[in-house]
Amino acid sequence: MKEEWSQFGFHDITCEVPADWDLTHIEGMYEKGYVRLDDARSPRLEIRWERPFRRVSLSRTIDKHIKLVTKEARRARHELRVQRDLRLTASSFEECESFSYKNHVEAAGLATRCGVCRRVVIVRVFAGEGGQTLRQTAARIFQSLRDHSKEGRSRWSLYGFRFDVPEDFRLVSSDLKTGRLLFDFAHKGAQLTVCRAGLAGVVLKDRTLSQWLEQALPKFFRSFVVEKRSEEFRSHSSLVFTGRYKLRLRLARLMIRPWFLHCRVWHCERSDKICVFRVIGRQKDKNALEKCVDLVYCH
Amino acid sequence: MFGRKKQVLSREQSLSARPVRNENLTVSRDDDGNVVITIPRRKTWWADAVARLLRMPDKRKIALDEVGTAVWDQCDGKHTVESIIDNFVEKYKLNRREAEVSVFAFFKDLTRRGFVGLVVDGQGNGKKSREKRRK
Repeated sequence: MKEEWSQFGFHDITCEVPADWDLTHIEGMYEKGYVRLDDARSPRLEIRWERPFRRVSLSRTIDKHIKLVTKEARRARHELRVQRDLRLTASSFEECESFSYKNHVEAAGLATRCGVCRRVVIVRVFAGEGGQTLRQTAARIFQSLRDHSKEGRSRWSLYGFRFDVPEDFRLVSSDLKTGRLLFDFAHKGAQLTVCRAGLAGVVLKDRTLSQWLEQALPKFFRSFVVEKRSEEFRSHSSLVFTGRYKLRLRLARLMIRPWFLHCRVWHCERSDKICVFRVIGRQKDKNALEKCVDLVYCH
Repeated sequence: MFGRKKQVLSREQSLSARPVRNENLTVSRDDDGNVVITIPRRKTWWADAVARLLRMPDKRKIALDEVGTAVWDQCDGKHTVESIIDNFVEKYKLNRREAEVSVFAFFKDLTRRGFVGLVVDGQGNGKKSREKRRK
């Protein structure tokens, strides 16, 4: 059976993964973090990244990692076989080294250092049942691995939701619930929020899009005076909210430059999802930031 | 005091289990076709006393929404949890992981309340290994 592949992207780390692997564990932020993807039965991919203060040797990083694995294998009384330099590489990195080991599970790993973002990334792919061999799967994942933005955009792709944000924006918080994914990004005071909600057909049966937004995200327009209008967007009906910051004090109005709010909410019938894009920023960046909604892919 | 130890099912067992509705429940449909489960109040001397004091009704109704009704209708002892998840993914265009988490959480709630039992093959001669019946 031909395996389908999709892209996974998180904190500028992107790679191709089989379509049935899903994110199950996340930790950390851009400088240091960890993600794990599982298939229906077991963990299949782990990615750990860190931006060290000083240059570290990849060999020593792998040595440390293998030491931990050896300790675990010894505790569990499993036999461990380790192999280094498998010639599995990732072409887009300044330096990379691969390894593999086999105890009760078989795994292929890659450690990389990027000359652009200076992050050290360790990727481990675990063997599963059926399908491609571990080596083939790992080779494809390693070859597609990237750890920094491309063309000024950071790609985020998880649970079938794909969007890009300008590379300067960093994730501040995320709320990943069943049926609703919400991401908040920030850069120099500007904020960018992307949200996707599922079961749109069910939730919009007895309420409008505007009512749903009010119930699902009640403080979304806090501190702003907003105006609403309907518009078509990519052949979907959408609502656009534009607003300015509430400035109660006349003195504050003179001292603080006005900030704008732009929000677009649309219902994609094809994917049965509601997508929300909101940006808050300075007037001088209005045009550039509003165009970022085009980087949110609803289907 | 010495309650039965809860069985912990493996992932494979959970997916291959077949949910069965509790036949002792009173089930009706509302105008939208959604399931409404009517549960009688517990009939013990102390429950009666509390109910009289707080003026509680004799019955309680739990209404499922469209999504819950769709899952409930498949709890016929023939569909496995895995097939229910597959149908859920197809009907509501959800990611597999999202659908699994939702369906498992829903079944956890239903089994806790005694509305549904799970038939796990290969345990206790293929008979129902754990099923709560609400009196």
